[in-house]
Amino acid sequence: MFIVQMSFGLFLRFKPDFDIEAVYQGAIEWVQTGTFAKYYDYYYHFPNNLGAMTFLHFFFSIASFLGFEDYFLVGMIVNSILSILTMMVVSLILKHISGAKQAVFALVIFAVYLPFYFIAPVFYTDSLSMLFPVLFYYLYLKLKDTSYNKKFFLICILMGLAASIGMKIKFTVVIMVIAVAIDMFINSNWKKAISANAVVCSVILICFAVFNVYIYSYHLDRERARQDNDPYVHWVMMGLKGSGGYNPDDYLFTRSFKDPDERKAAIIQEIKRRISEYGPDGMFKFLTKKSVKCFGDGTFGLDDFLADREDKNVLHSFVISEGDKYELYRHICEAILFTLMLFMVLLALKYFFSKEKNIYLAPLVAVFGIFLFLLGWEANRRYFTNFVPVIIVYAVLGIDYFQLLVKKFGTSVLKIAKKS
Amino acid sequence: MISRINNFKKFLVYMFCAFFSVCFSYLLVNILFNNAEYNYKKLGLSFYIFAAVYLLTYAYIRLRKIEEFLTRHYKKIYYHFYV
Repeated sequence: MFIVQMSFGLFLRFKPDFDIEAVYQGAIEWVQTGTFAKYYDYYYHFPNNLGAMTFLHFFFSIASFLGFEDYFLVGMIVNSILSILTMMVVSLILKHISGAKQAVFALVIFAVYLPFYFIAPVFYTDSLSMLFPVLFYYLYLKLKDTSYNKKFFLICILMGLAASIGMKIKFTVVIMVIAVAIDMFINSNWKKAISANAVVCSVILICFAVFNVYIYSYHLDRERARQDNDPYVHWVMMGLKGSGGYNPDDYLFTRSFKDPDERKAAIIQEIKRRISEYGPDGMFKFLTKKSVKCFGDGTFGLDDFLADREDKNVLHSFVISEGDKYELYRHICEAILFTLMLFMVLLALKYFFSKEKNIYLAPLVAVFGIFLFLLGWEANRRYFTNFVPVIIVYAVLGIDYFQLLVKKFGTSVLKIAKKS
Repeated sequence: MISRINNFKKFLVYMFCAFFSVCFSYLLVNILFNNAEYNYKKLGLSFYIFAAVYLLTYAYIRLRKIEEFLTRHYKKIYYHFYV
């Protein structure tokens, strides 16, 4: 997989633009000059990408120390290794839960899910954070088997570190942290759940505090950041217009207010206005459309990045929207994603109908959490990418039930045929 | 008291599973039949979905037949896949 990803990656190299440019070039500038001053303006508005830039900066620094200067290749290698680690962790989770057969089947799914072959050059937050939700869940499964001793606390600390890094790269990783906390309180004893959550939350708080103190002491000015930050409600507001996607007019609206409190109040007012304009029925229809926009594309939106290159080759004809084979590619990708979600729904149905005692609740809560979050946030087909491995875990568990249903259906059809 | 709490927890989990199934089934139906955003060819997408379901299930059944082999050689398969 690594060899294939890297070979395709070399053919798909592109010139990073917009947000990924700030992350990539900012990290390079930081390595070469000790600051990312050219991008300070960007990070005053979008501090959410500071984590991804710092993450890349760490690896670029190692590469620079070793005398390596092709940073794009470094980013690609890091992203490829992360995606491969994701596959390893998903396979290990299934080995732990179910057995070798399911673990190998997860590898089969990764092998047929085409975007995983092209993901290496797209080292943006969606793919960089893909490992962390499943890693956090894997550590939780290990924690469940551990008695209350030193190892228990060591795993909690590792969980906290995995969550912190993941959340710094893309904050949606917090959904898995919440899902695991809910699972702990439902399936473990309260004493264990409270102490584990306390350690995990403490590690996350310490990591966030250290990171923020460093960034706002050595690079950014806290007061200016407070003035310039686009408030989180801005993305909620943007998610309520048109199809819920990116909308430049909303950026103009947000930035037309100089005072941060006034800006936030104006955005909240606008959100209320848009919600009341929809009404209950309109809102339901709108959210339906938005959920399709978020989960209806299985390509991970890689072409948003891969298209930023002038000369195109045969791979581009598949992966970018102008390519003549793109229709085929996107239909196949969506069919696989659809199938995975179908198997996931079947597992939830199995849990409901057979009243199973041993329910793996956290992945289900996490997928539902990202679904709810995306209904409220700016709609984008890329934003659920880091939860696809979680969907794969559930799909593999769900295929058993699908097979059982097919068998039952087949037997009853045969019986009817025999009778007639 | 504890058994009551446990029963209530179970009830909540089962209801959540049911709600989850309803929401995602609705989403899947809309992806298939009401996808103006992406404008898929319905028949084409249905064909690919059928093929994906069939092939994945077939692959899974094949794996079941060699389960013992997989259990014995899991580590080898695991490492070879990643390289």
